[in-house]
Amino acid sequence: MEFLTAAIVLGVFAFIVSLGAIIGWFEDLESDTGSQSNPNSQVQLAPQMGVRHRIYNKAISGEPISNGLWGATAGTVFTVLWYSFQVHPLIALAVASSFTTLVHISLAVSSHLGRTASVNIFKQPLYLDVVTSHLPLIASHGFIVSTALVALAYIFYNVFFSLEGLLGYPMPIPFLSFLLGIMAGAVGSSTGDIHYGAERQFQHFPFGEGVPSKNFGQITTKAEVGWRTSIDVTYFCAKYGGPMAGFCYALILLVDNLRLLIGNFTVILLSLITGLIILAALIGFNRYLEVWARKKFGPYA
Amino acid sequence: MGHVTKGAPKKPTINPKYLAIIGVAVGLPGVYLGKFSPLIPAALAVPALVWAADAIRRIAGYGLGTGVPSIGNLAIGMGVLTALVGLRYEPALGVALAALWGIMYGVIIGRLKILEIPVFTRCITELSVGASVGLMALLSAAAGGYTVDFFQGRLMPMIFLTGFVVAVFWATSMTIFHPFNACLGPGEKQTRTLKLAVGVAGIDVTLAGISALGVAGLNPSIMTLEAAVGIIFLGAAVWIGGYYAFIKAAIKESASVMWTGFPEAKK
Repeated sequence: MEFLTAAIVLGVFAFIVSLGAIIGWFEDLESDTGSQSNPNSQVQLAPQMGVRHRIYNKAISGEPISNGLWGATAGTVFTVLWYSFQVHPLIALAVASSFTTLVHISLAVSSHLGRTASVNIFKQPLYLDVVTSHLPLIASHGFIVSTALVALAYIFYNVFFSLEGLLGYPMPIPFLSFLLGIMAGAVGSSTGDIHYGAERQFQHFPFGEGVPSKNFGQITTKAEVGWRTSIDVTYFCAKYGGPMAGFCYALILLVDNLRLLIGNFTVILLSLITGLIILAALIGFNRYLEVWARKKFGPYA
Repeated sequence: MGHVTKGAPKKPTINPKYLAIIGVAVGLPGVYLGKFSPLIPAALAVPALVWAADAIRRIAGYGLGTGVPSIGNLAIGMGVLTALVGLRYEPALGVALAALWGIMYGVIIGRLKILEIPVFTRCITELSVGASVGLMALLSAAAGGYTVDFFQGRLMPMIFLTGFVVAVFWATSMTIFHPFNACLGPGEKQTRTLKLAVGVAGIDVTLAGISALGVAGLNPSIMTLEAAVGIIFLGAAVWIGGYYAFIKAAIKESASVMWTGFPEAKK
């Protein structure tokens, strides 16, 4: 193994991980701008409980499914332009992400309008300024997610063939970006949504008591100033939820590719052993964290 | 209008039987007619997809909530496997297999009492067949029309190995479950949901057209550039038309529409 090849592999590896951080970060903020996924059920329930609000109700689907669609769409358009018509990858990337944004906006609009029209018997008004002010935010975050997804898939695909299979996967780009998108959605839903969960959505109730079922639907509708919109939530989540989701996605890419890389540089058995060591370390760390937290904050109420 | 109790099926405006008849009677010949022009299956996939979206509406009207996307993905899973069989041997065989599978699935779920929905078997069969017909028509359109040696000669090298199938596959799933998921609520109306279904089906057809464009770039003898661009324009027209009708309906049927304002204070 030449020193230069190893240096290039590590450089590309670092770039992959940083792209992963961007994907996770922006994916989570995109989903929070419109309370997709977990917080959605409470937003949907609020008008039925007599709580009328100015929060965007973006019920496209679960996050993994919708992000899978952005990845698949952008990856397909990119492959059509780059592979079939030999367009420069950067131009193909921009066109693919722009088209994906059109699809994204369409589905985001239809979910808010449809859900609002379907709670008409509870007199929830349809505010058009909520739609017009949230759409640019949704579109811009979604654009960055689909750009980063396809860029990551392109790097994985190309690096596999140019670096003798040390890094990356020999899969068609649409498949790769689709799977990476589903993964991004899963990370945003599991890690990021914790930071836009019970405490933010029910902020006017005492902290730490969880959400008793008598409070279901009684979401916080007033912000620090004026009525709360999903933009306030995005501002809040940009501090903790987004970075945490990005960190998680980057960590997944880092740890998994590190495992593959170690095996590819030496013997494949070592990759298996590394995987087991990482798994044991994660389980041990999580156990330690839980025990520490219980000692510090008391048992679960 | 009073409160609609959860779980009570709402009275549809359009009889689902007609949708089913139109979906199969239009979609299945569309797959065969693909050899004349790929534009025909692309256009005729829309009724089948709208029918499947209506089936989701009926099945998920029993308070399925977060299960709507799951059941959409289940439908597309059954659809894609039977569509592959259909495109490999005979599209009518694929439809029959999809129906058989749907019935089997419905009977098993009904016997084990996993989901207690009275119309489950019928709806899951309709979903499976609708997804299968829609996918067959769209894949036939994307790979230049169903002909002899379609599967080995066109579908596998042009659509599967390049990965274009992912967008069509996933967008079809979205077309089937998104309309009801987006319109879910006590005031849901069939006409509004189906207008949205047409709009999302337009996105699906546009993606099939983009895949067709990729095929045209790789092998012009299978797919002409004009036909591919034609499918994209057709899809875009359906997309815009469906969304225009849906947004108009949603604005008209909302409790009140205003450019800005605040909700009334809670009593």
